[in-house]
Amino acid sequence: MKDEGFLLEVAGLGYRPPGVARPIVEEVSFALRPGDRVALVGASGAGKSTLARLIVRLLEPTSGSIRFRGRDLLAARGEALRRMRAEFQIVFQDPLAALGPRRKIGAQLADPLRAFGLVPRRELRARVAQLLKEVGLDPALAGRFPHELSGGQRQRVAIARALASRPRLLILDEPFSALDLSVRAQLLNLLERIRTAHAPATLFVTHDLAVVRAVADRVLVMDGGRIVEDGPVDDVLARPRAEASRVLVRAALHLPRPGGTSP
Amino acid sequence: MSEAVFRFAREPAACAGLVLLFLLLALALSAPLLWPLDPEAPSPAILLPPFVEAAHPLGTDRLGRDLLARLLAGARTSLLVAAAATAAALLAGGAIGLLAGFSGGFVDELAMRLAEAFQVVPGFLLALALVSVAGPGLGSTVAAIAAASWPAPARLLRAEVLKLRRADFVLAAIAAGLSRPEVALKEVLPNALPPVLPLAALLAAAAILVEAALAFLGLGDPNRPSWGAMIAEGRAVLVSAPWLALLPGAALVLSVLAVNLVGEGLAEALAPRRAAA
Repeated sequence: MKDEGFLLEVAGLGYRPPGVARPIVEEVSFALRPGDRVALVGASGAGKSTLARLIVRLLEPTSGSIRFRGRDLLAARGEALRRMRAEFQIVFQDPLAALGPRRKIGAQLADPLRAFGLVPRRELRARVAQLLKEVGLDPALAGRFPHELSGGQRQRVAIARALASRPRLLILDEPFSALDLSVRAQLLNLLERIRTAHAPATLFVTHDLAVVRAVADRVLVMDGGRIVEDGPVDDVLARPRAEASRVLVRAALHLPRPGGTSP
Repeated sequence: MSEAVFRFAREPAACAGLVLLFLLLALALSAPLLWPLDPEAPSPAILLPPFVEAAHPLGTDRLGRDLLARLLAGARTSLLVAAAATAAALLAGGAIGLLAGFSGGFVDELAMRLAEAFQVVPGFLLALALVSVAGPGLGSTVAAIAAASWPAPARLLRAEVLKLRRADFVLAAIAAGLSRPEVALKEVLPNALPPVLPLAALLAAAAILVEAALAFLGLGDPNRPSWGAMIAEGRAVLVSAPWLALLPGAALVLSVLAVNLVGEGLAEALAPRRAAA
């Protein structure tokens, strides 16, 4: 058992699906402390989303270890694993795909509350309404289906569902890339509010360096399934060492600075 | 869902099939009220042709039994067997397919080999063999037809599950703490069902035919009038009293047609959207 101050310790993590020659994730090691704000960047196909799914145990790693608050996450199975899921949550890239198409918003928001036994049955409705308000949505949306909402509203719902169990770790897998710019800005604000209110550690997956400064203090750069650079955002953006980081920074120079005016 | 209903409603053939099916169902269900003559009661009026006597509008058979009453009773048998066999095949096949898709590995392998074993034998021959062993009767007919038709829904649902289990919303439900059975029933099953509906109609149409064929061979329930059995009886007097075989034959064709049209309409309406032609 290492330093108890770590929330998440990933060591030598690898993922190679059967029949695939090259691992999608290879020898990934890093650690997060409670409340850390970390960005995971890299070009498309670098393995970022796969790594995110490995960490929240939606994919089975083929090598390495994951410790969450000192406990071996890969040893947890079945009911024990199901219970632990309350503490680490993920928001997917495409909110339309991430919400069940045939179930009402309210039922899907009630899922984690009910499944983790957080709220007594008769208080579910009130708590769902509160969750919707927390992410700036009208509680009346509980009675709607996902396809009746806008993209931004759907992503707020997905964020609300991820926050319902008050996780210690929130992974956001390119949560804004399916949304337009004005919605992005609103959601960045929402994320900031959430962070001050609940202080979960966040791992923000993106290929867009423009948002990294806004969402992270530290950045991990991924390339070809490996983490090739790990350091404070300012250092990495100012003096990228790995080739992949340099490519990303060079590409980002042509983008407007966060908070600046759009071209 | 509502736009699928709309697309179904725009298809004239599908609507015709639906109307026909409803009519058949209504006739079959209301038969005891509509035409309360006992289909098994013989009368002295033997081999009466249709449209001659008001007491027997569709005529009588060799024992003087009323043909209209027998046709209506046959409709009840036919639709009951079709509905029960299809429901049983869907439930059993669906459960097996769901289990196979979710478990993978050995369970999946076993279920699929079993399905193949059932599918290599033509459905009718399998049903025939099963009924020969179990003896004629309503229950054995239903069981035999279901046993011959469960592999199709099993394979279909397994394929849907394999497609859906990696979907984001299913992963999200797992992340939200739902247990495996909950994920299967709440998220996967409802989204795997749309393609099952047209298949159910196809199975029902086939079940109507197999029931008639079994009854034709004398393997149906001897205590219930069946169109297949009526055709077999009418064969002996085909030249002198052709209506005895033709009327139940026509009823059979209409029912299968109705169910097939509805099935095709459903398949069309629920298919993933194609470019408008």
